[in-house]
Amino acid sequence: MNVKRPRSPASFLIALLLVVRVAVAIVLVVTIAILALSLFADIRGLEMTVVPPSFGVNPESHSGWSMTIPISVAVDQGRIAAPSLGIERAEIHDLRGSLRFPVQRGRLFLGNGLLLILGIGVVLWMATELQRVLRTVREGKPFAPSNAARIGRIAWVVIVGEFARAAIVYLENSYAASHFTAEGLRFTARADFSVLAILEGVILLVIAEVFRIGTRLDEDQSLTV
Amino acid sequence: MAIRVKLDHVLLDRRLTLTDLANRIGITIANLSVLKTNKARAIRFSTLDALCRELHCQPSDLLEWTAEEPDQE
Repeated sequence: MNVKRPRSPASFLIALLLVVRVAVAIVLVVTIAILALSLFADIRGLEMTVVPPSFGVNPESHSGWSMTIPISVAVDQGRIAAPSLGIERAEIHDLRGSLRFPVQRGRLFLGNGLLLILGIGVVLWMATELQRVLRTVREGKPFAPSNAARIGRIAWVVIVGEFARAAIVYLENSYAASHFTAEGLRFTARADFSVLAILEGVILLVIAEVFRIGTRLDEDQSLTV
Repeated sequence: MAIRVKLDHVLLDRRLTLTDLANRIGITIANLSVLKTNKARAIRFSTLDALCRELHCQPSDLLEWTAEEPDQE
């Protein structure tokens, strides 16, 4: 039955996703505009982070552009112990953080800028696809043939996106390790791979398969006389 | 599935229209049309029962098996 339920959870989520889409679209347009402008003009206080994606202008900053990249460091540690627990030697390892540094206009900055635009674009695309799925749910037709394909595409983007994120983290870790030095710290390169994100993608693939079977059953039912 | 519905032949024999049959057995013309054009995936016993009752025929008069696959639309 094709009935709209304005106060259903789907309607609320559609409205929420609309807000998200508008906000992300504005961020995307502003990011593209600032990056394009930065090719021709010197913008003071421009700050960019790819993982997690963020972009902004700090008007109080007196330096030029700055970038924040994820880093992994090993600490030249002294003796770490917990005598009250009877532990004589402990180690700090897999220390992660981020490194902000001034950057010159160049390949690194533009490359990261393009990755940032791609990341924001993917978020916008996912919000749009989810909103389309929810619209069919609100209309009482969750097993529309396109939904299984949409959820499947989102699942693959989540999985591939996590591999891409891990690769970017590794590359930026490597960049820090090969260019930066710090007293008492050694920069290392690690991929920071999240099994949980892959699991989320796999769960979405299972849901897509359920939707595909549901679509077939729904079609069978509608063609049963 | 290569089951063909011969509803059009039976209707022709009985000189009935799809609308007449739909009114008699209480099934929509759209659903009967799905059946007549061989687009149906399944048929309920209750539908078959109503059709046989109104058309005074046996299920075998309405259905036939053919070796060839039906046209996919």
